[in-house]
Amino acid sequence: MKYKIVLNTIGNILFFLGLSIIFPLIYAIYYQEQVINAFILSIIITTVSGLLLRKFFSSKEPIGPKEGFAIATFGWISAAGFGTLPFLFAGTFSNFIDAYFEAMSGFTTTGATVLTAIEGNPHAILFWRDQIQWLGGMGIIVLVVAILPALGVGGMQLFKSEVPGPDPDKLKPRIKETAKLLWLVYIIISALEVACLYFSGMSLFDALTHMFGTMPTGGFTPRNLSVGAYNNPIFETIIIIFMFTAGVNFTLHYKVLHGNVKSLIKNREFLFYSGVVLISIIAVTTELRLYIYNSFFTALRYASFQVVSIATTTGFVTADYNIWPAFSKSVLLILMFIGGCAGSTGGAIKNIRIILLLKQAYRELYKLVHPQAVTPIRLGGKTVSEEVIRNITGFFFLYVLIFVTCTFIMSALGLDILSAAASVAATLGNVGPALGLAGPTHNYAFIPDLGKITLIFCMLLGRLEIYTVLILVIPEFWKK
Amino acid sequence: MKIIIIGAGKVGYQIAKTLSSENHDVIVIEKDELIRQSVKNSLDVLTIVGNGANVRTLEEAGIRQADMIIAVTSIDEVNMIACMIAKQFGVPKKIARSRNPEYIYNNTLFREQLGIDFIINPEIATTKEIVNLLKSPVNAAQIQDFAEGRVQMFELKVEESSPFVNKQLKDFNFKHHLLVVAICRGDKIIIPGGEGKIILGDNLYILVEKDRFSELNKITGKKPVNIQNVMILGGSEIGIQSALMLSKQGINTKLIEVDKEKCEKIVERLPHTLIINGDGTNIDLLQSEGIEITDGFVAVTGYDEDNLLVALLAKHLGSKKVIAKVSRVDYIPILEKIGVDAVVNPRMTTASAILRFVRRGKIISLTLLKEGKAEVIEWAAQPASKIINKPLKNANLPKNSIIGAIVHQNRVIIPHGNDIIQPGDKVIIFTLASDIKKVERIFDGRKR
Repeated sequence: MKYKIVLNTIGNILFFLGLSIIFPLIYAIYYQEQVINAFILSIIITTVSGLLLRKFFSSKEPIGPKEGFAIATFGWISAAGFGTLPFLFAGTFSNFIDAYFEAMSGFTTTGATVLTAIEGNPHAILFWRDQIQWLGGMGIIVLVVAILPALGVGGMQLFKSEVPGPDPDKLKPRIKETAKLLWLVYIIISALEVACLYFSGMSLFDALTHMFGTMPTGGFTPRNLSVGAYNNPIFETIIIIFMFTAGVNFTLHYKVLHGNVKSLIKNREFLFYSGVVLISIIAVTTELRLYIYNSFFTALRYASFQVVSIATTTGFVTADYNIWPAFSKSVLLILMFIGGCAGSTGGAIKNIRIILLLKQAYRELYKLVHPQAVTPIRLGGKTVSEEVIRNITGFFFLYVLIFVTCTFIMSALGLDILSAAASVAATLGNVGPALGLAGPTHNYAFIPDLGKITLIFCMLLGRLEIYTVLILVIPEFWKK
Repeated sequence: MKIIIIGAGKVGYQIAKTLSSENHDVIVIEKDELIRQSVKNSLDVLTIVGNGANVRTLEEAGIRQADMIIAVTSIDEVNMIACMIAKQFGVPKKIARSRNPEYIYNNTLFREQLGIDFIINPEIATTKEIVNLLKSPVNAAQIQDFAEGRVQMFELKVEESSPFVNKQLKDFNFKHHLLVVAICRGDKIIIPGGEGKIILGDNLYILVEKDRFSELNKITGKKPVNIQNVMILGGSEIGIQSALMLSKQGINTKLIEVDKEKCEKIVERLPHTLIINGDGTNIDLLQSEGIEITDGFVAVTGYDEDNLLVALLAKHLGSKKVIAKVSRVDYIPILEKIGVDAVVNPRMTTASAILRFVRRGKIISLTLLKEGKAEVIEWAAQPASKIINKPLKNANLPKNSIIGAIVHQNRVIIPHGNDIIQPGDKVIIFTLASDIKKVERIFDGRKR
């Protein structure tokens, strides 16, 4: 392991992160808020730490696979660490674990909060809390790959360790160009959403912060009642569309923006994802119409918002689904596991893995009937390599294993079985609001510190897709 | 530039590596999924699995926008068809590797029908290298021509016989037509100043005006070698071509091949060469065929290990110049240490030749040294270049590069700080890979 290049790259991440604190500072100055000094101090500490790391650990060594994993994991851990500075200096949280939970929840685009009263905090703090989601959505490491001059193959290692999905696509021969394009597409769609929200009547601050919650499928809002606070069907429709968009592979968006609309319809994962969302909306709407709401449109309105919000792992709330009937709740719980598409900003297991797991399961059954059959798994006419299949089955097993283990921990800390399981599913899948005690109208503040640490770990594992983080735990990784 | 490379074997890989590090957009098409994966994981290029002679695969690779296609699969016909398709799509530059010598003589087919701009035959290119090395009176590990052969670069080993061991470069009293541009010591390549010291085991890269090699023999401390008899081990295509080329120039050639049937075929092609059917790894055979009086020994069987060991044996038995063909690049760094005079690697030779063609234009010629750690570039000086019309000492060249020679109106100048480059001159620059971009910027004169 080459420590120098790892620390050097983390230095770069922190430097750019520090610069990005300027945006909330602008709001602090604009609203003449007390927290200006807190932000200035945060900028200085973060950028200077970044510069020092860069200076003292300058290295021209290439980034190998090991370094890639280490940079991603420690980069995220330290980014969340420095991300707490504005919260701590402004006194938003009294203890570090709460601040770290909130920052990690933001960066990993989970949207699980420990803030009991969101409104009433300074604008700058709310802006920062929402902005870190946007940075984490497309990825701080992808951003560094896009900005830093020629990382070469090392860039690919970094890219792979952060971009979700079993086998990330390249849009352009060079990874730097690919990273740039992905961020560009991300920025374009983000700007579009801000424009839509702003012109349909939201204030610029609210439009920006809600975009920060939607595009990275985060879920933080500056309102106590989340998107439900507006009770505005137009806002909800816009947000549904953009949440759904954010759950789609961004390479597909690039192709569509390039005029290749066909690639969207041809993409199996996109079709599956749309199907899952559509069927869930129909099922939940039906049940809600039957047992809760009197009008079909009200049922459709809340069902579609909640289904898209959970399926994309955003976690915005317009209705208290804790009081919905059991079937709807279990649909939402299952959606927390499926998540968005590979290469999207959505979390959880991802549709592509579910498709391939289903195909693999079918193949095993098929092989019992025809033991000698040669049966490659195909997706959209292309054979998927056994390597990828193995990777995915391993991933699925680890996902379930972590889910089970952490659920045990949470219930040992005193949570009831539903709250324990749902809180782990919602953090591991980067969703946010869970069911039960950590449900849509509650928050995570009541959970004991040890539980918060467990969930922080879940969020990181979920965002970096398990392997990147867990590989660091294996002793083999550290051997020379 | 957008460049499609078909085939990610050793040659394709080396080319992809060099071109991607120079900020070209490289797309590699490879039919083997495992090889594709390894390329994907180690190079910053786009990889596509598929057959390079398939129109769909090529379209997926973006052949419509491609500026160049380099077809270097192991199958000649695939390379030819790929270039043909590229011609249909109007790709400006098409390069193909062709191993079958039968094809190479069919020039009109290649250039006009298939539209291939540059055909490289690894065997013939390697043969030329071998013959060049053998014919030079200096016992060099490598010889490269620049400026249409007016300037040559030699790689010389410093052995015990050299009078210059442990002396500084400035102590050498060379006449002006010689410059030590680099010293290769172990893994490192050093660009020496006058203070640079030579130690035993170094390899020196020396630029010299053509035919002025008397000085070079002073450095090695050896007598000039005049090759009259050459023994070739292995009836491979390179062996046959070498025998053909050498015997055409009046050199006595013997070729040893173990396979009887092969021998019979070779005899048909080589009327002026003595063909011996026997096991060349057998010391008795070598001795009975007079290894001690042969001047040159060339080992070009299909087995690297045989080539190396027998070449060493030949050197030990008294052959003056031994050359071994080695296919595995990994071996090369240690080989020259153990006593083989020169090593040829068909793949590096091919990659080098293709890269030279790819960058042709302002760059006239280029050679990769030490697996691409350093390059020698020949440049036609442009009027816009930053280095024109001022003394070289003010030119601000990067620290790991050196101007080795200037060819001004057919006159070769080995430059000093006060020399000036004028537009139209050919400049030969030695540079480490890390400084290539800086050098390009200085010579190009334009901002990128």
